[in-house]
Amino acid sequence: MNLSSHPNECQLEDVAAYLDGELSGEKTEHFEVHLKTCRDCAAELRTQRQLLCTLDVAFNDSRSFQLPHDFTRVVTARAESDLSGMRRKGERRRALQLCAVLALVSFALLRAAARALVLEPAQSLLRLTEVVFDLVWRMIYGAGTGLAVVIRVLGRAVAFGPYGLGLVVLLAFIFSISLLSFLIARYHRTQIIE
Amino acid sequence: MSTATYLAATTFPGGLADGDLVQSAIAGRETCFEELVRRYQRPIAAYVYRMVGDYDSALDLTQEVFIKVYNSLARYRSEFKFSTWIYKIAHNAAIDHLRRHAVREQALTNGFDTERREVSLESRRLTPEQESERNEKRSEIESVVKLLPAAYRALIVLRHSQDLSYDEIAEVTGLPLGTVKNRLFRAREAMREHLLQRGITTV
Repeated sequence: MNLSSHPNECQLEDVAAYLDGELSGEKTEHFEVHLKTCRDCAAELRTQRQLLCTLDVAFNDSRSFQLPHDFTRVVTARAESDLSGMRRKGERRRALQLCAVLALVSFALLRAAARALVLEPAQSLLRLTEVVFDLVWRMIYGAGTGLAVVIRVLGRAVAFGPYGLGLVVLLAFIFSISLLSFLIARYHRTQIIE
Repeated sequence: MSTATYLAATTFPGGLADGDLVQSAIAGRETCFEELVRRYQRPIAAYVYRMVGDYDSALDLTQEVFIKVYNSLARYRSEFKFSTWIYKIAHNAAIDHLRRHAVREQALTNGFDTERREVSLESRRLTPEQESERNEKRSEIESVVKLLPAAYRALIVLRHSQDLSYDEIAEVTGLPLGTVKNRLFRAREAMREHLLQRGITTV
């Protein structure tokens, strides 16, 4: 509908409000007097009344909106089990206090359990490790001391014995032979690679 | 709460007024909250459904609305009508849903689920052909409602489907009364144009 076809003084919203019963008593009387003289508003009234009838009939099914079976009970149960639904502050405070006490008790119990289950086995494991390390250290120390004694005795025998010089020469010869064979092998390997 | 109200709450909560049911529910009588749910579940679900256009979302939102109602019962002030208060919660939930899901206005018409809704009218001795024609027209009108912007749609549904007064609509939507009056008129004009385009004048 073209709104500009109505005279300026006509409030089309008032036509709708009149049909909805939303005009005050005084305004209703004033509007009804106006209707008798204004053809545009009378026509608008008929048009809007028809539209309202159409809408009211079309929407007349809200009470028959189909809900799943047991919807009421499900909704009620969900609402009542919703934890944020603790309505009173005192109730919430009591719940917090209870949680704090439970947490403390749990902590104490856990501590006792931890001592029995974790600390004591850890201590015995530490003692065992200490013993093993001590044993290994003594073995290494003993071996080192023994080796030092053997080297010292041998060195003394080579340096101050009657065949000391001959033994040194023999050792130098053996070393030279070994070194020579190593150098020959290395030379041949280089040749092959090149 | 009086003794008579207490007895009524424990024996027959269906006979109590909304305000008494709320008081009894706050006092811990769960049957009273259940009665409130029973009383308002269909109109609230129907309103939310018309706003969001999806059956499953409407059911979820309706559940959310009642959970929120249950959690806020202690904050309900008896000077307001309970129905207005619950519609306000439902309206906010529907608007939040539309914002969250960024539903475009056109999108509502595309995925509109009409299969599970019951569209039976009171029988007026219509022939099956007339009944079928009327249902078709009604579906058309429903789809036209979905074409409206959410602000208009809410007003049309609250007024015509839920029978709320202008004052109640203003309270539910938080709009000034003058805006409700003006916007409702414009929403109807928009609907009338859409209906005329589809050749519908009556149902």
